Amino acid sequence: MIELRRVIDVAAAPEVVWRRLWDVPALARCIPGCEGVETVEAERRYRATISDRVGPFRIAIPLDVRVESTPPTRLSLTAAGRDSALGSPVTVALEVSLAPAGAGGTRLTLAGHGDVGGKLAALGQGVIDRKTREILDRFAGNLAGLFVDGADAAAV
Amino acid sequence: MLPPFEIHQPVTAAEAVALRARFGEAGALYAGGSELLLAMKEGLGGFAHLIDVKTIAGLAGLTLAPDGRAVTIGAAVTHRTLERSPLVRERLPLVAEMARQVANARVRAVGTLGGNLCFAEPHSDPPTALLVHGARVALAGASGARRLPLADFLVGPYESALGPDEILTHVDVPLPPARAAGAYLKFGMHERPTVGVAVLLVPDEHRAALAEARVAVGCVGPVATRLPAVESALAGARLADLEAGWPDAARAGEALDAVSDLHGSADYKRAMAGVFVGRALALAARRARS
Repeated sequence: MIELRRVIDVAAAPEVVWRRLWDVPALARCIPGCEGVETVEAERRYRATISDRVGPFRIAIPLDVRVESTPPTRLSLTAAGRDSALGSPVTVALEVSLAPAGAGGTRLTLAGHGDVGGKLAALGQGVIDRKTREILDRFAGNLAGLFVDGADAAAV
Repeated sequence: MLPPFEIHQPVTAAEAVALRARFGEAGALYAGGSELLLAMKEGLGGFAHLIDVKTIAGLAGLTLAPDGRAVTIGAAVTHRTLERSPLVRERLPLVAEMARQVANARVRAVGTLGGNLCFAEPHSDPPTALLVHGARVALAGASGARRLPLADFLVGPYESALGPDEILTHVDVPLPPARAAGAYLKFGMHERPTVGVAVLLVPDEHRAALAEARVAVGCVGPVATRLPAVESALAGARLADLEAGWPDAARAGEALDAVSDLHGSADYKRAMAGVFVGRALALAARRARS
């Protein structure tokens, strides 16, 4: 299991950050290899596919994403699916909390984990673990980048 | 079950390169198939086109380089050929010793050195033994040929520096210096090794102390790697002492970027690397003295 913990300080009010988090296409762009995002039930259920390469092999994982939210302080997300080549189970859980911080800013706390099982893990646990960590880290970095632009800073 | 595919049998490197460009991600290079076909049977890859490199003229060559300072091993040379070749056994005994230990007889009979290096499965033997020789790989591509040190070719698990329009044509393995002696030891509980250690010791002219030590460890991290800190710590060590056991060997694996997987935890692998570095040093020291 790969764990992710990250704190991101944003120079925008929690309400602004909260609205930005619900910009689903923008959020999807923060997830490396994420494509084909579909809304099944607004603010509750989505579908998306994450794909990545391991050497010559392309791995695609269609995920069913469920979201629970307590505006504007907490977002809880679980994603589950099976990779399309081997049918191995993949799950991701992510808890995002928002708290006021500093001069009208927001502290975003990300806590989550990713898990890959079945044959995919058996064939290359070491590689899969590193890839999962890489994807989670890049996601956290991209998410922080989402709030660096001028529009949000001006909205404070 | 193996999914259907079309096989292409180019007779020149240029044809193979053109086929790679034509098929892109739908094509894969195919040599012995000992890794690729297993992965495809599992459902990975789904390649519609396999480009057989065994039909390319010259790729099965195994010769002493014209300057007499290296052995040139064609990419399609099998592990079995390396194991039995009089040239390899005489001039690169450490490579022959390694090849003898690759997987099992069936894999050695079909698996090739080039296929092994390009597939870049981290739990494998050849890269480790080739690193202590300072081997270089030769690649042919649409924009010409290039050569690079094996250490730069090994990028990560299942990833090499081979470009999407390139093929590996051969590996040049420099002959070890005079008086050098080596050892390749491996350990594992599954078919693939948990750790592989290659040591090449170059003694001084009295065969008493080390003029140079080269140590590489494979299978433990994402790619096989030399251990420069261990190599410099061994400078000047006496062969008799190494044969009796190098006290610092136990710590040799400490700096390794070990990966936890089915073959063992990162800590376990680092510990085993230390054990086998010690054993390989003792064996190579004994060989260097005789």
